Amino acid sequence: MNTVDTTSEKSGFGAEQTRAVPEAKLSDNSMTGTQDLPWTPEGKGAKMRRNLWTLPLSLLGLALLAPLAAAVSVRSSGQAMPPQVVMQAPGSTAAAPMDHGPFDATDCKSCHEAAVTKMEQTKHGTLEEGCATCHDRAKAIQHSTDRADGKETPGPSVKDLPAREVTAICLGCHEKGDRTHFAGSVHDRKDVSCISCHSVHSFKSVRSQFKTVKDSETCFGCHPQIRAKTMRTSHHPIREGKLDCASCHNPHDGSQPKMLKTAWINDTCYTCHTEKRGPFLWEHAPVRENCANCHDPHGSNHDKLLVAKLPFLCQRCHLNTRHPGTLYDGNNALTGASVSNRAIEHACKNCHQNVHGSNHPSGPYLGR
Amino acid sequence: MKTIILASTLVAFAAITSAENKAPSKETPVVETATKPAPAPAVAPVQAAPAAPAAPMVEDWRSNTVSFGAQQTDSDTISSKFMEYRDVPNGVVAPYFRFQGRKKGLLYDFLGENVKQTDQRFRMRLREVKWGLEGDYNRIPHNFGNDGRTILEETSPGVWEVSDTIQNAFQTTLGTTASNVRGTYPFLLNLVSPSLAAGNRVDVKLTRERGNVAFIAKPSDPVEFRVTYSRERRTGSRAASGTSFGFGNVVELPEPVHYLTQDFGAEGQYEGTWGVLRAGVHVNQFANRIESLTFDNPFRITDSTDASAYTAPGSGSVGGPVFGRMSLPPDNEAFIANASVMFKMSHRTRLSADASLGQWKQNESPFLAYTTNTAIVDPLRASDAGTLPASRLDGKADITSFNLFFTSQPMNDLSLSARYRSYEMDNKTPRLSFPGYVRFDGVWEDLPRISVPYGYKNDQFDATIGYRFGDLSLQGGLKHIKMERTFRETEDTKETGASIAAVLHTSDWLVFRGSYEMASRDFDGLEIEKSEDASFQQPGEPANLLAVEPGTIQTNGQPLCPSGTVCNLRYDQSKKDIERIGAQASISPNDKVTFSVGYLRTKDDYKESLFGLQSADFDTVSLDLDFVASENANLYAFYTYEKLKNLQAGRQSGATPSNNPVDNWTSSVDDKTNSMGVGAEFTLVPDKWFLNLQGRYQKVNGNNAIFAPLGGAPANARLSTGGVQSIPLFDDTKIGTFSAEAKYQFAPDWALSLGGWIEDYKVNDAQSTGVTSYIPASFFLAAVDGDYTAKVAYVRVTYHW
Repeated sequence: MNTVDTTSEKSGFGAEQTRAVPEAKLSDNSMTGTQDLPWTPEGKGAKMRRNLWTLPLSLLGLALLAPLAAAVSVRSSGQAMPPQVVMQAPGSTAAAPMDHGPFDATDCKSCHEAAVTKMEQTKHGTLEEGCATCHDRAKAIQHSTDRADGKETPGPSVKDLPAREVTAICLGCHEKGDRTHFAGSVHDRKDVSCISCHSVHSFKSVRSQFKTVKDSETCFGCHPQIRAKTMRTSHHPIREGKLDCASCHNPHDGSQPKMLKTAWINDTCYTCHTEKRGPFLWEHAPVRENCANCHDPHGSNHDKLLVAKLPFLCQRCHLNTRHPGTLYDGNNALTGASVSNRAIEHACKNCHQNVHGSNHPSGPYLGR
Repeated sequence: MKTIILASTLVAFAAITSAENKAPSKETPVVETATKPAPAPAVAPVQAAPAAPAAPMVEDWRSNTVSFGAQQTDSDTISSKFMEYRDVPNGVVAPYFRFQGRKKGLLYDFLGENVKQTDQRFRMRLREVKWGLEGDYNRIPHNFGNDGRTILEETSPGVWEVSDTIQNAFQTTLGTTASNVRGTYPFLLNLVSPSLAAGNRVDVKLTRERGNVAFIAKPSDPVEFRVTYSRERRTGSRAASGTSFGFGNVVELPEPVHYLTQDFGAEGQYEGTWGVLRAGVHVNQFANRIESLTFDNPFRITDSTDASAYTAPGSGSVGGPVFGRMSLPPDNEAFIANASVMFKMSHRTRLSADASLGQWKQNESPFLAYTTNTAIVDPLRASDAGTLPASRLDGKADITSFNLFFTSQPMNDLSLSARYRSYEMDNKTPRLSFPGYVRFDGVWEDLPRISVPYGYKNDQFDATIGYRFGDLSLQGGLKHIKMERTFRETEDTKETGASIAAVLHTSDWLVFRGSYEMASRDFDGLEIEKSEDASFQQPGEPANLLAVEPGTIQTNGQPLCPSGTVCNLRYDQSKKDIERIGAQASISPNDKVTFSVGYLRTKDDYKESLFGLQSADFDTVSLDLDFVASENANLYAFYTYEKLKNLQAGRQSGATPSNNPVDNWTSSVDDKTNSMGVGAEFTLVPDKWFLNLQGRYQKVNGNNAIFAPLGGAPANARLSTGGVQSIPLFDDTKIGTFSAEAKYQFAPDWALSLGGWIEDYKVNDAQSTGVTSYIPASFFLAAVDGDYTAKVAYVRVTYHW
């Protein structure tokens, strides 16, 4: 039911990672119209194909073949090994990690069945070092040995580690692609580590192993004001699940302002709104420069995600003679005595439709 | 695209299933010995371990889920808002399927959501060691308004016509009616109402069908190639306007949308122990199948010109064109190539550089003629496209960007980072000169104009230093942003700021993050009339208050702006002070409860501005509670309060910019928003009965307080109606949703869910709520997008195997 870690011994997690996040929150799909909760594999789900007899026999065979295979491997394998994580527990007398062969993940599974099973079904499950790829081997050995002796010692939980060490473990393999610039990014500087958002063992999302079903809910954990904006009447289809925060942002990137996926905000907008890219015959300077001059992409109570309501938004710049600079107040609204088509519905856009640019020779005022 | 993804999904799934069925060693765990060398023998790590460590866990597995059921939806109105971005159908539904697993080293995942609905989505992923294939088909409906009403009819894509009979009758009636009557609203309403009553109904909506495929190849471990193709088709219409014949005759219509956007990409990456090298190219094309919107003038059956902006129907005019034409977004394309390199060094040091070169082009779509109005023949035959100085734009812009990023941890507790970035939009579109233009297809304006290809360049530098004192980390930062613009009032603006931040991350119960940032913006090279004059070949006196010299003396004897200030500069360039405060604390006294509280304040003070935007403040407080009561019960709740306050000012003018301060007016918008949500999940009977409850609610209360002093033009114009009035109904909305679902696990692989949700939406806005099809000087569609209360009940069966 809850997501309090099932992969460690519940001792000394980092506060952020210890957060008791109710399943109800993780599975929240309200206001989307698509209420279903993916049936995650580890529950009633994935059935590992195994045969009680063939598995031990196979393991035995593997054990016998292992020396030969290893020798061949050393000579012929050109494959890069996953980075070995060496994080000796302070004061530990356990053997150095490299003194051991790959950690036997089935040992972890004997106590941490659910966590390991789910991890096995991802790419992490194919790593040669198994659990020891990320978890401190020496500490795991100590933990296991002590448990056999009836002593309770903390396991090699990654969640015990400071954020930067957690990040270092993950970046050991993942510092490439969209994650190339994570080190030194705003998230990194604020101690947001990979496992603040992602879970290796108990993820909920369809993609990217987020802790929540919907990607955006992960972000809202620290950005609640953005969640509130997405609840506005004018919004991108984020709460409907058709877009998510990562549609525009790369949360791993430290090289771009606001962690946008492109070099400039307009380039981000043009990925979906290509018709506004132009260039146009008649351009509108603030539109050409920055969509956020007029729009709040996270949500607004005003039509078209505008930061302010028309005609007042336009009148921040267009205080021209006659109608642009004229005050339109409650008298000119639908409830007023002097209704004006410059104040209601689309206001200025009732005539100046092509505010994003016009290709019409008679469109210097963006009305054609 | 959808077909491709669906077909590949089916073929791939069939192949996998087929292979699965034929696999001779079906019951034998498969070990990837070919790609994962068996480990060397080692000292047994733990006492109870097997004789030798196991190889990586690569057993085949599968997990298949299908969900189907029936649903009943009941909504009290036809408001499009209920299904703005979604489909909530009646009848049989298939909301979800997923087939995933691993077969002989191949990870596969096929997922479908809302199958058979207009908001369906399908995703697929195949992954092997050496390659991968990903696909995504996402259909996004966007409903703007239902059941709009118009006297026009779409006779072909992008062409809306009124019957000649109506046009003829209206023109004749206007022509024979006294001028003091024909421009009045009661007369016009009476004239058009019968036609409107018999008019056409139209839903304003579009659909995005978006597909992406990506093929990933990893010929060797450090090298990865990715080839991508994305295609989005947008069809339908969106809420349009601007189909106007002047101040007195606005005709709102749906804007036809028939777009196709395609993107072809190729990327490569090399990862070494020293760092990462990446490069890629993308070609993006946009095509619009409908290049113009043509719309009849309800009041004209013959073309005529008119010197007034108040063309028919007006007290002073019965002129105007038979129909008008508006340009729709022209085809365009973009090309971009980029390369980046990141070097890894000791002490967590990273040095990276990115560069990209791109170009945008727009030259495919021919210009429309100046007008459709054949009556405009002097000084040129404006309806003939041959009289234009060019037939196409030949628009192009070079886009370049460069990033340099450095971060390091030279000492264990000391961290540094610095970033420089540059982005330039160099608009190389040629400037085209026109002898004049036609206003609203009604009148030739003898004002020579020239197009203005705006461009800009942004340079930004920021640096941060941080030091960790145990659980507490303190950081300080500086930033400098320079923005250069072409054809604008200022040569450039510069923003310089500093920030401090603290992160307290105790090991077991508290996380605190706080930051404070302040910045100030200034400008250089002011030429206050430059932007105003840019598109005129013979610019005259400024018509915009924001182009008037700041020292211009007013009727009160004082200059427009206080001495030494520029109070009338547009807000994207004016002097500004910026303040940001953010704090968030998350407290977990035990592993059952987490409580978070956050505060965010942003304040933009346009400190010298007396006109335009003067200030923009945004304050939020958020609370968040997570509580795991037991293994069988947990809940969460959140609450956010937001306060948005904007202040702007203007001045009402006649034919020339007023120099009388008493004509000033101010608008102070104050939005208060309360958002909250709760959720709970219970296991009523372990492994049998589950209950899930969710709720969301948001209320926005907006208010626009307007002020204009007595004696000024705005106040004088309202003497007969009680003076200047504020607008208290300023996009006020409420939305609440409550859902409940009970799930019964009646067999290990089967579950039955009974659920429902209710959603209530209310909007109250003085500028749009209650709009009708014809109001003074305007035909509006008045499409229904307002209040609704909807109830949905469903039963759903989920089978998993």
